[in-house]
Amino acid sequence: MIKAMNIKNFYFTYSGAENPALKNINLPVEKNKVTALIGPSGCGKSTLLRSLNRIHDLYPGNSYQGEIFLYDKNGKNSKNILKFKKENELIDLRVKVGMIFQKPTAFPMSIFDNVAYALKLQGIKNKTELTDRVEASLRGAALWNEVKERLKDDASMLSGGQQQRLCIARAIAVKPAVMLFDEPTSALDPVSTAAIEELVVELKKDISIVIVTHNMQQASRISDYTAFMYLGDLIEFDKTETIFLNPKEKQTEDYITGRFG
Amino acid sequence: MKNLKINNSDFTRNKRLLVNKIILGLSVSSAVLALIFLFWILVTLFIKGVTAFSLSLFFKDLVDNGFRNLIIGQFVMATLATLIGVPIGIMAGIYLREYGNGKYANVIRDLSDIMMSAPSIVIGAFVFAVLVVPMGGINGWAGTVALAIMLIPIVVNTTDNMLCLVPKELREAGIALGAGKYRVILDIILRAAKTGLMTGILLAFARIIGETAPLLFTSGTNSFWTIDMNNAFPSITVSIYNLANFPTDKARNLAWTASFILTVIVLLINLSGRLATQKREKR
Amino acid sequence: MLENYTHEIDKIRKSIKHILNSILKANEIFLIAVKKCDIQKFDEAKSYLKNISSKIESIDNEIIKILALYTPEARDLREVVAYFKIDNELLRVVSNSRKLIKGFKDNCFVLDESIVNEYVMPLQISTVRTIENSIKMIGLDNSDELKDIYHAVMVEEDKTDELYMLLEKKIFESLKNINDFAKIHNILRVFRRSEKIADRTMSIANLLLYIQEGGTLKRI
Repeated sequence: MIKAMNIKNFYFTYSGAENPALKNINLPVEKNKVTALIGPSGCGKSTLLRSLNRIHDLYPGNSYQGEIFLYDKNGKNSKNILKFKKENELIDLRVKVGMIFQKPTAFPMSIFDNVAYALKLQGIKNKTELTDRVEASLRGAALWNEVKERLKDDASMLSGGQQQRLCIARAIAVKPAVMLFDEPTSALDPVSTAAIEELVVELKKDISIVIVTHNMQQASRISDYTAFMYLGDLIEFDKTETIFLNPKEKQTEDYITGRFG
Repeated sequence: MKNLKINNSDFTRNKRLLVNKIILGLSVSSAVLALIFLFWILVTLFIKGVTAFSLSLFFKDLVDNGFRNLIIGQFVMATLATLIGVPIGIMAGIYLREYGNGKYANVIRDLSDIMMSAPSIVIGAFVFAVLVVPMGGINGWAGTVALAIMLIPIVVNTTDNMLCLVPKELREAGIALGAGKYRVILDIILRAAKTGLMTGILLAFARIIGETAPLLFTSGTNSFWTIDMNNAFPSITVSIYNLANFPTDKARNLAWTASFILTVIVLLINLSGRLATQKREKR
Repeated sequence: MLENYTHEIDKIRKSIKHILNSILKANEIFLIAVKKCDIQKFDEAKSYLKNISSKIESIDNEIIKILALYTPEARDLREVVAYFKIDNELLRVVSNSRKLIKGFKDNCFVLDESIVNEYVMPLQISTVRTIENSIKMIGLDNSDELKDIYHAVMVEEDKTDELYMLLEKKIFESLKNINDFAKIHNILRVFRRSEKIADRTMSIANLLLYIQEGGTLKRI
């Protein structure tokens, strides 16, 4: 397995909480594959996902143990992202590990400016280069044809599904190595959901993907690996077809068959 | 024989409906009462003020029985106070919401709220002691500062509230793209809260333009046309106070007219603020 | 539907088509072999049926995987379930084809050439046509065309029933004494295989029709 990221002995406790929200998580993220995190509410899947780009840092007081390694494009050298302290290092991490949220978060600016935002942050000023990369990103997010005539329009004019794809275009503009999806289709209708799922399957050719979903069928449709979590523990991790056809743990089977609780 | 017994549930239901009607009646009458007073004030002002009203009032200064210098003077001081107070207020609001954590932020927030209800005359007295005395006399700058001191807590409060309304996912999305914290605030959050902030500022402006007490001991008023801020500066509110205390009828009539015009000005500013909010909500 | 799913179901369609084509080839070559009692041709026919059982087994496992991962609905579900049942029929068809070829090879010179030409050949030709037409039905979604081909399958399968009955009668007529009975019975058992192949292929066609037309699964 060529890894994009590797989580080792990871514990996470929220600020002010007595017990850790994540206990001894060991999980590899394989390069150019989709890894799904599933489990009932409160199992810690979102907490784990948000640890991968250190976005928990926005809310001080959290504590963690263990290591999370981010590998370079060849899958060889790795850095422990939990050791990053300077803002530069964290900014660099978030460029390499992008995130898409449950609620589509289009910025209050034009469609073009949304996608170009991160590029401008990196210092790209050349208009032609910006235009080209914005177009490439919008194409990559399967949104170009729908917005090419109205790039200057405010992003809030787009529908929910389009806004979510805009967020994806925005994230892929900086060519991340890993992308984290936190229940990206929970707030969308079935047609938009299908479009985003197709997009994820397409994106994995260039990007390694981790997706949190409470929709098991979504996990079984699009993921290559699935991790089942419960109350902060990683119960089972395996290839998706094993999890859904021949799970090894009874808890996993109970959850998959809907006999939980 | 028909069953005439009213059963328990019918009785409870009828009682509940009656209570509903009573409360509804009380609410409506209270609202009507409040509206009656509002209209009463406006009508009174109109009737008393219309006698001395003429368009020439807007082109002559008080020394010629006009209000031109007073209105302009009041606007000048209010605008300057806004220009000073808004940046300070917004930055303080941003600090509170985005950077402040725990005890210090809460203390500052509480202090700001207390300042909002501080008696305006106390603020005027404070500025008198701190600015007027060292500067040797009442002047327009002191009046401006007093108004600014009144404005800042309002802007802080508005900024705090408006930023609170911005969903936390928007912040997270900015950070997740690799933007630094101040970039997220400038590019995304302030823009998202833009309309709310502008409305808040407009309403704060409407507040201070109608203040009298902060100006009484600080900038006073001036019957002549002047734009020299180093001396007594024209103010319509202070002038209304002075004119109302004058023994002649003519002065008192002028006071009524000035009051009427001031009320209309404040009403117009408020209404445009409300309209802007409605337009935003329609999008 | 998702690219993954379309890819997987396509693979299964191709595999089933491939298997039926192999079965068809085996039965066609058998036809040629019967004319001249050509031993080599019999062996060639049999070679087309090698390793099919393991292929069918892997198709079964692929289908289970598809059901687990993609939870297909409506037409997709009917298609997956139909292929699952078709797999069973295919196993039977392969088994019958093998026994047909072996049985005839061992008893090639027993019968009259006239009986072979008048009854056996047409019987097998109809069986071959049944298989041919069923193959055309795979992956076809034009309702009218599908029904037409299904009808053709039905017609040929009916013919095999009739031809077998006539064959049976003719052979019993030519029965000279009771000792021949055992030998003749064995021959008839062999020809019965051909009729059974057509019968099973008819079931396959029925399932292929079910994919498009829906309703409930019926045993014909």
